[in-house]
Amino acid sequence: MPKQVAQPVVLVVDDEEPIRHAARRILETGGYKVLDVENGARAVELLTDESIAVDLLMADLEMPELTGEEMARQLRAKRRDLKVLYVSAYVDRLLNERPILWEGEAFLEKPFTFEGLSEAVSLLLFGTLKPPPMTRAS
Amino acid sequence: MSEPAGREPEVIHRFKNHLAVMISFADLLMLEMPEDSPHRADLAEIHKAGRAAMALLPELEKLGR
Repeated sequence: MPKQVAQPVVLVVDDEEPIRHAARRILETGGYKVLDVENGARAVELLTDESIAVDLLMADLEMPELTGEEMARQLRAKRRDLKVLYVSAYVDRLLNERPILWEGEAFLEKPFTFEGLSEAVSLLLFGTLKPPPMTRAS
Repeated sequence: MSEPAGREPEVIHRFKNHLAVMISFADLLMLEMPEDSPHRADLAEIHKAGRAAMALLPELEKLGR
């Protein structure tokens, strides 16, 4: 019987509401707690509250104003253990700008699927394609 | 996938976002809809078409270059 883990929290940041909605549904189906905001500035503001726990940031790279990468850089400076899943319509753009992904980072190409997003998040958080059983936070 | 030149990147970006939403919700419904639902065959067609559209993206991007 796999050991139970605490329910991880994922922060989804994307300027497209339907994408946030789809990601939220997929991740909640997988057992995660999900927060979502529409831009990088809101994400940075949200995580200034140290009582808000977030284990993984799902960051759209193609957002106006504060880009996904800049947002992730700012957030990881404050929260070094934060995992980051960059989501992009253009993997080549990401690879050109970020030829090296740091530990705890990964990327996922749009359009993502249920399986693709679920597996990417589980791999980053647990190192396995499927997450272990989770104890739900109240 | 490579980023096309000109105005196509924005159009293709938006298209990929719409496709991500369609595919994600079709996936979720396939997972959640009872096996014996009378709507399952219709949903399977939507699901299949979404995957086929996704597979066409590299060709679409070549046309934009």
